[in-house]
Amino acid sequence: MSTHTSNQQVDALQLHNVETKGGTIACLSAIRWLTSLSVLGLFSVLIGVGCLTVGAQPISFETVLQIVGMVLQEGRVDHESAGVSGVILLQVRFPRIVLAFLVGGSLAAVGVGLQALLRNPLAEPYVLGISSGAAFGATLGILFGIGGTVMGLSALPVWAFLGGLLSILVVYRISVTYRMLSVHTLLLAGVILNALFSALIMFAISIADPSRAFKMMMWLMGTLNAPEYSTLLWLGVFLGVGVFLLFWLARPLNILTMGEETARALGVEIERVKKLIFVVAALMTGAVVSIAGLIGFVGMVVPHTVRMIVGADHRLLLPASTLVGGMFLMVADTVARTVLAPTELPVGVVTALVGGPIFLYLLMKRRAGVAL
Amino acid sequence: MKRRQQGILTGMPFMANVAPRTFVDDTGRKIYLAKTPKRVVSLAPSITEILFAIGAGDSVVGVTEFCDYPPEALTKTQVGDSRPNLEAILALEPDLVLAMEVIRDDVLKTLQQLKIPLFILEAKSLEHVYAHIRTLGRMLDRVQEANALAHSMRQDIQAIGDRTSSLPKPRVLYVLYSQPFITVGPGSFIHQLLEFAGGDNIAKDVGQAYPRLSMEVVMQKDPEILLFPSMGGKGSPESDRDQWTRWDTMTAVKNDRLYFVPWALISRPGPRLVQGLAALAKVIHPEKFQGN
Amino acid sequence: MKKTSGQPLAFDVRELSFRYDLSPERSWAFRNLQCSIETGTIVGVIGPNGSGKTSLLKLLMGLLRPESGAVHLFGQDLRTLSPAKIAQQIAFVPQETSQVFPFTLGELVLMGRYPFHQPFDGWGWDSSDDVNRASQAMKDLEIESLADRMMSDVSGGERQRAMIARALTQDPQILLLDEPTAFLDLYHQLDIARKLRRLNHDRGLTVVMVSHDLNLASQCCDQLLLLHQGEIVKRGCPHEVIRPEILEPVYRCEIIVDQHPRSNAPRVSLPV
Repeated sequence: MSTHTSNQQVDALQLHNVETKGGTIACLSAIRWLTSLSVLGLFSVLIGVGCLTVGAQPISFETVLQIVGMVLQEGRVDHESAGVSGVILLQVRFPRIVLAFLVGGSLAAVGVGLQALLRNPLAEPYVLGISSGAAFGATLGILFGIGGTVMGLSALPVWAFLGGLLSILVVYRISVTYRMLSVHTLLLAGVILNALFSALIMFAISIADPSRAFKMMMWLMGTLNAPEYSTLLWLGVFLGVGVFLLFWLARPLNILTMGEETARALGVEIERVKKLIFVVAALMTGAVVSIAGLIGFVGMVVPHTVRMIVGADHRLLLPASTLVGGMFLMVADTVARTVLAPTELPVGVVTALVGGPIFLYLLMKRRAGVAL
Repeated sequence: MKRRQQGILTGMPFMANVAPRTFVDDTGRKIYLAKTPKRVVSLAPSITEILFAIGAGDSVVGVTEFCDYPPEALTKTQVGDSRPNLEAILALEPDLVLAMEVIRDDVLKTLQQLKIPLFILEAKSLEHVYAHIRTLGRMLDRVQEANALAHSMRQDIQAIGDRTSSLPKPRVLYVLYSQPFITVGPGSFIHQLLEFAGGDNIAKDVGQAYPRLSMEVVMQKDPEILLFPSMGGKGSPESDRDQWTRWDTMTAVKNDRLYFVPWALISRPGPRLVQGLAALAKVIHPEKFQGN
Repeated sequence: MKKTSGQPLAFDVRELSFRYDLSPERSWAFRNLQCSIETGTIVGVIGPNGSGKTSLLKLLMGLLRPESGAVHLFGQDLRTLSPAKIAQQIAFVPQETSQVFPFTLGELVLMGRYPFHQPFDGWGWDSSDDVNRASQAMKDLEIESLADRMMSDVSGGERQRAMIARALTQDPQILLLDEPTAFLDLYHQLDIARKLRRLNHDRGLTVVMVSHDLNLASQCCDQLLLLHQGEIVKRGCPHEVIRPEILEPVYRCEIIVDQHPRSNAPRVSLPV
């Protein structure tokens, strides 16, 4: 038998396969992780820059470079010399692209986490009922005509987030008994809350006057208005912390997918892990929906697709999905704001139209019988 | 639809009495009114205002919750909000129901089944509004008042237009909603009002009446005036005016030309559009319309 | 059998009461159960369906919580130990598992090293030591060629061997197995049985095994626990427990007991 050596420090230059007396196990190595994520990261930057050059208002590539150069050199932009293009790039397009990346990445990361928590590859961020709670909050805000700003944020996202928080509290309360989180109950509670809030939203739409009703429906379809940098900062920090926490849980997530009993038998503190995933996922979903409305497809299709390509190990799956989700939404939003210029499409429409066929194609390509 | 309207609205009063009392609405629907309707239900505030303005207020038996002008309208029975209550309508035993094109399908079908005359109006332009006034005048035997009203409306609007026509037209953006951002374009009578008020609607090249305009295009066009529908009243939408002050490179923001305009006067395709137009003209060309 | 006196008991179960449903009307699965298992023994838990065999295993592991009473692991109350601490000492091989996501068999076996990556290594890479152990375990169980296959792609027996390999990768001091040979063909049944005995002999591995296969239990185990409706009806070495007069009332059928020709262990057969 092998000698009982103590746990050695991680060897960062671990090779992909380890040869041991004729048998090998392919596992995730640091090199593969680094390579994959570097490539994805590079792509993200390239796509981001690409999206910067595309928009309703045509701006030449040279101008983009010029303005980017100006920013990098001086740290800020002189409005007179940069002109309208500068304002458009820096105040409209760039923040919007960053927002799309944050939102898309978060939705994908939450999707991965929830698919592991619920042990269901069809799970996605809206299954918890948080999103419809947030949507209801926003609907109420529109119904009562609350305007103005709260701490630099317009009041509507705040209402939405409060609605989401309410939803989180209710779902948590229902699903946790004797300090144990029942995943089964969680799913049911989410379904019920979705139904309840959807009904309430429809009620609100029906009693509102046509202009408000229209506004509600437009909001629900998802929209990425160019945010202010302060908003981006807050959002970035909030979501970044959430994503980081999910990454930290990558290994327990791996084991959790084998079943709660098996996970516990392997030393996972399942109650803590489950609750943490739920809270992080719920808060992130609430924040995203509050800012951007309901943008579907990203949270389910991206994790699925990425998993088919990189495997189920969450240490790679999570960051990879986050990056791919961000890229996907950047592209989808660029399409939404360009294809019908000078008007725009709701971004949720584009994610469905773009995401659906891609997913179908991948499904057909894989051989049958492979667990997704 | 427009061509049929032209046929009816040649402006010859005597035709109304001679021709059979058949009317064609903006959706192509034909109705026949044997007698002058005495129990009219109005399903839109603009229609209510027109009815009262042409002196047919006594025939009105039912209005919506949003019908707040003139004050007499508040005394009428309310049949619900934008989605009217079918039973309430039927309980009033109307012999004519007037609605804008957003009417619910089931209301439509039931009224048709019960053979209650339903007349639907679409206000896509000021011409439509004049035509509606005249048609309603013929329907309710208030031809003289209606024609006079339509005529004076047209004149007043044209007068304001004349005063502004020679003035330089500042670039204007009308912010219908902020989140999502929707404005008005050709096909909406609000757009026409903007033009009459001497403004250059930056969305005038867009093919839609209520387009979701790209922010990039707005920055490029750089409006000099931003208009927001004002708060107050049950039916008015909210404005996010404060959110727009962040665009500090925009001329409108630099010169602090962000104005509220009364929503009810601008959004209702009825007689008070003149006042709405006056309000618009006042903010767009204050130098010309002082104390008017 | 290796007698290891002087060592703390592997398991000491005291006054354990447990039931699945906490509502008052529900009946008890176990009531004031007492039992102890010595370190370095191979214990078989036998009994008819519904007698609580699997529940007992789970209680020993801490996967189920008793309503009253305690389980002591090497002298320590289970409740004071974190799941990771328990998992570093005990490995559990369940009867069957399902897989929803496409993990390879190799990745599954590697999961056995998770208990040793606490507490900050939520991320962590698999060290070469980890991979070596896993590879060796898979080789021992003759599934190293399946390292890249998915669970759904392999047979029931191969799945079971993967679960056992994972347990061995944990390098535990105690191995709990629930029907470890249920899906295995004869070759592998023999192989597992021999491996367990060897591990027990060479390394003092304590084994607690639930099995329907009375003959296997009789040949492998030092001690047998006969469970019936949540009570330990008989405890002792195979010769003491596998007797018709003891088994028949519990299994409610006629049982023939003779001797295994080679090992002289008691052998059970049914009069069909």
